[in-house]
Amino acid sequence: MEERTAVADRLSELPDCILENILSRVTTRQACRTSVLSRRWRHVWRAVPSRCIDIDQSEFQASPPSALKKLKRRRSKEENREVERFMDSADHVTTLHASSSPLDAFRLRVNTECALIGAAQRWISRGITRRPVSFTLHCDRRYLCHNDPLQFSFSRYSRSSGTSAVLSRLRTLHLYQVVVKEDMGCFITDELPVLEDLQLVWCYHRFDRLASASLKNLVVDNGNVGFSEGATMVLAVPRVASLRISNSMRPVTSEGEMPLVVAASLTHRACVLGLLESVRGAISLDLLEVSARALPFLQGVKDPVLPNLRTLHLYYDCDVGVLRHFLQNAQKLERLTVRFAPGSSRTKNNRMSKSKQKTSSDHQHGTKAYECKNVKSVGLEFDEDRDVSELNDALDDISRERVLPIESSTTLRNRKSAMNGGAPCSPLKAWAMAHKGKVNSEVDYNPEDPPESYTNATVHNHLSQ
Amino acid sequence: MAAPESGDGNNGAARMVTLISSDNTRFEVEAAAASLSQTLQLTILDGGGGGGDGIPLPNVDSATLSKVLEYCIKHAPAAANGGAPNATAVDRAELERFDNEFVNIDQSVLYSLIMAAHNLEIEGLQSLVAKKVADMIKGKSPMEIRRTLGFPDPTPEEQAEMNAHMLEYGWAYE
Repeated sequence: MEERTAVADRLSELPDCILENILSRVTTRQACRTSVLSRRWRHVWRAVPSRCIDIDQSEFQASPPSALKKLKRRRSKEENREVERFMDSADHVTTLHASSSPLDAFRLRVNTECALIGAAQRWISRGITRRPVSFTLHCDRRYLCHNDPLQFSFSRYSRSSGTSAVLSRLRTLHLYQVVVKEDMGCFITDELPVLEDLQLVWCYHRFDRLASASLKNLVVDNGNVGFSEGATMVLAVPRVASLRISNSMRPVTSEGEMPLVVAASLTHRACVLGLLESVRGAISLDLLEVSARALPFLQGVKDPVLPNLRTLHLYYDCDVGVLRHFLQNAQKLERLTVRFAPGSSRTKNNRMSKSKQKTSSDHQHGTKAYECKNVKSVGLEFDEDRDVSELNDALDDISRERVLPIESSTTLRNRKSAMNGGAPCSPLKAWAMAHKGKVNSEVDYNPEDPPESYTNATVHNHLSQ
Repeated sequence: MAAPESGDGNNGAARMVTLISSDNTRFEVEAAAASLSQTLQLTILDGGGGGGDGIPLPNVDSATLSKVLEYCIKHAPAAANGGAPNATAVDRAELERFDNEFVNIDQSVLYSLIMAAHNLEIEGLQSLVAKKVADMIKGKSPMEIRRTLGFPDPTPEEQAEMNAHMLEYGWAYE
């Protein structure tokens, strides 16, 4: 008991600025609750809402309702009370400090029950008039539809509407599952002069052009929200250093180069229009479900498209043709990961094995050994029953002279095994190893293992040669 | 800052600096890792810490310093690439895994760490530990927070004060 108290004392002895930093990471309501810890803590939390407002409706839900439950019944009396308590609490939190003190962060997470819409707008408005540096809006909802009642727009805070520039300090804007009005594109260009970090995750958005001279980090991740509407989205973000375009159903293209991009994560659609060509400086690249057809400009290109590329991750059924292209052209490549989608070997969409017909004319097996002078590690992750012969062919085409040095540093990660659980082995051994274990078990390569360890004993012979 | 080559080999001559903890233990570490500390970075840029000199850190004991350096060494390559957002998904996932395990430690060590991170101005470590402590508070009732953080049960007097506070701030407790 005394020991425990001593620990609590150590926490209480920390300076106010550290305790406030801690409390700015929980909801304002939760921060207030720490005032009951001791006299020392009585007033620590008070400084927090002058800098940071955090409201989360899920705190008021006794148990998160399952999707089925949500569909089945209307709100119960109990849930009505929860909503009332939430609204009362949020109104208190947003009026704790008069609009004088500027905010570091405003975070609001709500579900979009109709009764809340007006209230949510009210809280957002109170937050924005305090000129936040960081703004996060997270909506939990069953469906995302374009005529959703909670449409998000900053237009009422625009300078032309007479308000002072309340958003001139905004550096971080994160929106999750939000329907974004069309005027948002213009607003980002014209009224957010220092915006550096923009994340649109599972959002419905229709603006055609996203232009910002200040943006450094851009994420557009549509998850599985399948909106096919909308024409090409044009990016004009010359200072972006980190770019992630995931599952965008809309084609995305870039107006001009993005010379500062160091890391890019792109999907099939995004690549179709040559977004890859705009990020030539990238050091690391994630590609997800990219087929060789999506990279027509790669064919017959003499200069390497991404001369600085050091790390390449291919996720979920990228073509082997894509891999071959980078093996051939990315001279500085150091790390390579190929990860297959779980269970997808049984689906029709098996590009890794189908791509042979598509790409065989360009990449005859064995035509040329890939130099890959700098490759230090190769990570592979796939289900046991996956046909990876073509992948294996491609890896086998890495120059024989290079295989030996790689051999000492190549790792295999079988699905769900620990990050560093792999053991050194050649690409071929890595492939073989996947035939050794069960899909969901950890597998380590041990040269001493007997043939019985492998699902197919011939694999062992192969390895022992 | 030039990005140091990751891993072995071609530039074996990475600059090293020596740090000296409050209990006089010497730690030799790459300058790039130590430079995650804003405080140390200035000294190192001025050429300090090399040779036999060493940089004394009178506020950090050796146990805490070795933990701090473990963090810095792991995060130095990502920082050299321009910070976390630039790491790829795989790198981010690995760092995240490391971070989760890293803060899975006794509360007293945690508090020493956050103080050290504060003094040394290591932003990432400060956030990491602050987040860990915040997670111990999240979603808990006042009594649960007390127990989690090791506060003794309230005396009757304290209980009365608590009740008064809870009445005043009903919106935080209902």
